[in-house]
Amino acid sequence: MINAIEVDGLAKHYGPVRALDGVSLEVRGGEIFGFLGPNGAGKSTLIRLLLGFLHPTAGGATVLGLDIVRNSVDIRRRIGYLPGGIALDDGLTGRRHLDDLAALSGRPPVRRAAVCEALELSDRVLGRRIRDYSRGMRQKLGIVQALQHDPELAILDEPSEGLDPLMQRAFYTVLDDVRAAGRTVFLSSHVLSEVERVCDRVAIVRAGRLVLTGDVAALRAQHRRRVELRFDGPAPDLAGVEGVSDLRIQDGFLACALTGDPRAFLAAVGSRATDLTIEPARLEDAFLELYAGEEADEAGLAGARHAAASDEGAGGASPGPAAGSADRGDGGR
Amino acid sequence: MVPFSVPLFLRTWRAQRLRVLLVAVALGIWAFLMPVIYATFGRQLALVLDTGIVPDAFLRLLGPDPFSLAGAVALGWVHPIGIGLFVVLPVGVGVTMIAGERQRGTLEVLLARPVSRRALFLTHLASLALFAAVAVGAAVVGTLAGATRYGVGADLDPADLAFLALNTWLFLLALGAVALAVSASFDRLAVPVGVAIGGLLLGYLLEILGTMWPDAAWLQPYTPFHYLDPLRVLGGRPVPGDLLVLAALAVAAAAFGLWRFPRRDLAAPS
Repeated sequence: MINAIEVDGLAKHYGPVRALDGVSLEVRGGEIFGFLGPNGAGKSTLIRLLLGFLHPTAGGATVLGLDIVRNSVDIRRRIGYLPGGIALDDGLTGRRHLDDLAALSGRPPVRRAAVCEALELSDRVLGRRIRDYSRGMRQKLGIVQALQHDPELAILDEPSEGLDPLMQRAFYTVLDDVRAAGRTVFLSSHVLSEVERVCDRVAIVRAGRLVLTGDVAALRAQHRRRVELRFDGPAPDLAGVEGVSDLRIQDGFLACALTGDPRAFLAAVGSRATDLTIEPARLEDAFLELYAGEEADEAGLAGARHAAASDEGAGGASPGPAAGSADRGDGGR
Repeated sequence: MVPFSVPLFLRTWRAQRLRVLLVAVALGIWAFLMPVIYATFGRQLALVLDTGIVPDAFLRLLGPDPFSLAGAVALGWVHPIGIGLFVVLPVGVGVTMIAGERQRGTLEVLLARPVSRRALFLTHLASLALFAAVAVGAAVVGTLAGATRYGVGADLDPADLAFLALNTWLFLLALGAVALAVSASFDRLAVPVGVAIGGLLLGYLLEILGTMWPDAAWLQPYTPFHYLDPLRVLGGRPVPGDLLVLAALAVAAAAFGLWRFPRRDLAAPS
């Protein structure tokens, strides 16, 4: 299967402002790919470049094997798009709006009924004018218009914005169905739990530059888990054990941080443990580490990148091509 | 193949149909009144004018024979109310078509579909051409209905009226094309609306000024209003060159829009 998206050194500059600076990434067919970053990091800029709304300053990209500059219309024939904070024609009913957009897509809305049902958009609701819709209902309608024609690739910018937790869960079910049908989803978000829940792989962008790409699970594994241990007898000797840091021992209680493979740690603890808690690593920790700004631990970031680089090619996380140490706090945007 | 989107054309037509209907009815009624005024008050008003109470500068605005049927119809055609009704669709709608959608944020939902920006521009231009045709058609029907109702229909030459209809349609198409090109060049609605209103007022004033004040007549060729002269056309002296100038203006504006719009960056609405 060809990659759904291939981005090669894509850049968008506005004079001295580098909204996107030499980003390269690949989104595989059939996966849900999360594009993470805070507001202003360049997420929407990349999406707008892929859709042909913006013209690249440098680099290039293909979507579904088609060049984003030369074949923009052909690309848009095969994708669905949910813009961030979608605006809709308030004077139309939801159904009329969906019909109009389906007609413009040139493909029948084969997935509309299923998505509407999952998101609880009833016929009665679709018959009302959009001006009477709540923010959440508008967002649901936006999701339906992006997916109703069963596109090969759905590009969703902040898709769960405005959805209540129940609807967010329903939306994740929709995404699971889309993935099960072999479709690809490119999802931009700054909601970490959402990316962690639904995405196979993730890229993190900061100040217009790609900081990391990789499997969600691998990213989590590279970051620190908090460990708490109660033990009998003398404290286990964990000094120098690979992956262990921030060690604190007091009265039969041990706390530390653990990175990477836990086997060396477990071997050192041996049979002295009476109770052991290892909190799962969270993507949020990885994210916060990468976004700590000038105050971040430079060594920690370099370590994460080094570990990511060592996993490259083995399904692990990999640093973006622009993720050199010069990235830190360059204020590119 | 000319880039054109039938679904977009139908969507635009549906969105504007009530506005088009209202303008058509208003224009029809307005045009109906001109032959009625001529048939009912023309003779008395001509006597008033003959007394010399109206200054020459204003008489020049009314043309050489304002209370002939042709003069009455022509006067209504280029009266500020008539002009306002004529331009409200091609200019009023045209100027909001792209910048308005851009400002609201609905343009990106539209452009996420397989519709090129050139197709979008040309489709909107076709809609404006249709709106202009409806407006002109309503005015012609109103004029004929009024003239027939008051028994003066025979005084209108169908060929002259047809030429006037074509002349007016091209005039509106040119203004609509300029409005659309301006609309395609900005992200915010305020600027294109300001340019359109300012341009219309300036063009109209230049034409009026040149008519009232011979020393300013040299300014008139620089306004599109100069190339719509209903009195001359209905008087049997149409100027085919006017059609060419208006067509050239429409083509130039469309060419600019088709060049400019696809090259613009459409950043995220703020």
